[in-house]
Amino acid sequence: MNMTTSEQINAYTPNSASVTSVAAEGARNIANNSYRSFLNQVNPAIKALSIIVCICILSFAMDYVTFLSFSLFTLILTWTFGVFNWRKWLLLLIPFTFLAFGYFMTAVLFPNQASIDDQHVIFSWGFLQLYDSTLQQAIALALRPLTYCMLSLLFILTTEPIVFIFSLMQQCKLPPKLAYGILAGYRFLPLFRQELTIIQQAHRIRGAGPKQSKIIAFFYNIKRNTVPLFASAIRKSERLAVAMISRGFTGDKNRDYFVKLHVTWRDWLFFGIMLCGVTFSFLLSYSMGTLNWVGK
Amino acid sequence: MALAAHNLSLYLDENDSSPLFSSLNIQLKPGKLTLLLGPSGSGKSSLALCLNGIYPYAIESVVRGEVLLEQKSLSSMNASSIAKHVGIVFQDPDSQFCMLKVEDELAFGLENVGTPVSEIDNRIDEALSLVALKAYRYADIQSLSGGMKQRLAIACALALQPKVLILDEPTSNLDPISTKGIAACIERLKKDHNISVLLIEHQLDAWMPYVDRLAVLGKEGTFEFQGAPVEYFSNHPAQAKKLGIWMPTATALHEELQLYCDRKCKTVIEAESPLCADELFQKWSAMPASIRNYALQYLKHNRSKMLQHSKKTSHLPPLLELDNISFARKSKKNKKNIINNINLCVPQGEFIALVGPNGAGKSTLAGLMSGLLQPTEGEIRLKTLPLQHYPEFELRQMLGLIFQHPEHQFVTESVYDELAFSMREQGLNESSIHERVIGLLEQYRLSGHRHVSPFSLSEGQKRRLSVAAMLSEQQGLLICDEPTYGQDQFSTQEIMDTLNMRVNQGMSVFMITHDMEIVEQYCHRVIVLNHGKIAFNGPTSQLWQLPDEQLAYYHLSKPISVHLAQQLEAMKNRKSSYSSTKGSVSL
Repeated sequence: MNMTTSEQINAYTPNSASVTSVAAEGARNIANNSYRSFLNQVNPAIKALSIIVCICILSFAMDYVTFLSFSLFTLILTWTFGVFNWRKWLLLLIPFTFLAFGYFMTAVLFPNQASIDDQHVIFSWGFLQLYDSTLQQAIALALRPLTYCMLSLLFILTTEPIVFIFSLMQQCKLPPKLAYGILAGYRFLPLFRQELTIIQQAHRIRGAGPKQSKIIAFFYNIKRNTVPLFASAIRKSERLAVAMISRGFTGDKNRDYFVKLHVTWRDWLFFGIMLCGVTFSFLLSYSMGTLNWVGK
Repeated sequence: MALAAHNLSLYLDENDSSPLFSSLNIQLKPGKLTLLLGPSGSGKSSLALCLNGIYPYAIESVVRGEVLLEQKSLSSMNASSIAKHVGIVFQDPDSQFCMLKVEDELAFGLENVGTPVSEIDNRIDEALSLVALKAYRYADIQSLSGGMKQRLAIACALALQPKVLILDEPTSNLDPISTKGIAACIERLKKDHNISVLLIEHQLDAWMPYVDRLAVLGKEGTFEFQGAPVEYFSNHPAQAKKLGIWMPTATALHEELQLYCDRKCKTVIEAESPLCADELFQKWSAMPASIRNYALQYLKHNRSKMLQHSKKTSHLPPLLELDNISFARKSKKNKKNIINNINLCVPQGEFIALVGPNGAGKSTLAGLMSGLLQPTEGEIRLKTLPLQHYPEFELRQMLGLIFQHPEHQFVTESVYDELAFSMREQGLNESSIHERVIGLLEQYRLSGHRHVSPFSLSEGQKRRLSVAAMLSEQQGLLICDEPTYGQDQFSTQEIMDTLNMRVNQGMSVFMITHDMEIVEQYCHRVIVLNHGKIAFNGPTSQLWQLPDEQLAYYHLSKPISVHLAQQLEAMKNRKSSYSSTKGSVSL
């Protein structure tokens, strides 16, 4: 019974065989300085700021050249300087592509009669007539949400949520109480999913699983599932709060951080690149004479 | 004196006249481990939270009296300076971490107390090596096993270099070997770093060798006893029984043996009760040979009674058969089988235990057997027909499953409806339902709560209700996932007796457990699951014949009674061979 040395304590732990879990795969450990991971290394707060600024400026424009050129720019930037799962990128883009297609079709089929310039008919079939100006407007309308989506994906897929919260806390003075609360909640998400499955299984065992009349059963089940889920969520959060306070957490804003996130020239470089991209798109559109402001 | 409480009382609100506990005096000395015992709901955890200032700082309450931390009153300090001196570890390994990575979690505590950033790195390493987790510094907390998470929680407390460590049921979720590991780890810290420890725990056996002092909190919220553990367990066993406190198994066994031997040979054996296995062995191996033989006789007698019973039912056809079952989670990342080619047969009228390390796939196997999960390969047959052949409703009439957390299984809004639920599903008429429910409420001591929501019951009551609700149906096979987890002696005894009664009626029970004493006492057959494979499948007595190293590899430990019997047997054999050789020489 003298299992006091560290080797002995660890000797029988089932996980000791899988050394893979030991690998240091932290977000801040993507420090291999290849240009590929440039986007992943940008300070998340600055990254978010740049993207919000870009979206704000872009929302003034309403023409296909600006959006086409800027979405291309974003695409190239994301795929050249970001390290992420490209399958995930495509998968997340799919719903927005449908949305964009919907916008496109609506704009083509039901154009704004006032803005039709009936000089240039591209295509005509029965009562359907497609004008040049309508097509341009449809493309612009479809590309708008798609561009915003691509910008958001650039941020989401190259940023670790944890690092983002840290950065908000350190750069944007987000109160630690809120920040650590969000972090703890983030940790609980998979636990809740597990718990919901268990609850559903447990109800099935009791013979309270899904029944024939599905609609009524659906609402009935929502109540049945949420009560135990909430009960355990409240208990868990209480326990966690107690645990955090007993580790000395006071929510004091003047804390020093072990992992310090700095804002360096690289972050401002990213900010500059994004602004240049927007300016370039606007200039291009202006020089082609297609620049069109929203509402005009 | 590291930490002392004077006249401490806790009221949950201002006008409350009945305190949770009142006028408590307790002193924690450096380098000593104090064990806090008491029935469930007596306020042990609340006392722990008072001692580190959570009451009244974080939870609204009124605390009278004072807690002194090295002569300084706790009420004058804030959370971060208290945390530097008093560390605490809780029962649930999943709800005490707020970060994703081991390193971040430790850094969190150190940042809180304002440790200079340059020092944090060293302190993290130091704390992790104290609990033997240094290799896991950059690992995800989620990837750690239950035992490792608890050690991490200890490390988080130790990183702040506290003088007092409070452990609130730190090992109730863990298998026997992990528990021993934690106990040994705490013992080392206590000795090397002169930390004073307050331990709250139901399962005493792993901790008894290290306990220096004992405090017993009674039902009325006052201390019934404070002093040396030997004194309490030798002189006040009746009181312990009344409070529903677990006796250390060694003490209980010693008493039983003594009683038996007294009856046999009328020699009163006067001795202080042993507290842990080692003391018990010493005591009985020092006894004269005749008494030792009686003891051995008693231990063997108990065993043979069990074996007889399992023989009686073995001719019946099997209830559930598992034919070459494999199971893998549906994820692209790793297609590792959680369950690997399992062949198993559950006959009627057998009490089977499923044991094995944390994370071996025990709960998954239970899910497969109950038809909740579909095996990726193989077939499960219930009464010779594949499981899929039964409609859901019929299947639930034949297979029952009790989950680890009782709350998950509640589907109605009152205790009464909860018990009546399955009977109503079966279409029984209301008057006979009423009769049966009243009977069940009586039997499980829940009569006073019949109109209360199941969620507002205490933990022990919830467990009793979930068992009662399940048992009201007449399933041929009942699968239980740790039914006695976190229960005091009363409830455990009650649940186990009910399960045993079902087995005697010819039904089968399949139970996941970490408690080897329960396995030894009730189960006919044991199945050891390790890495998703069956490592052992046979009668309980055969399992204990395996070498110690192998048992330890499966994270099992021998029950104390078996251990004692084996030792006494070995002594007897040695003696007899010795005397026979001596005899031949003299001839």
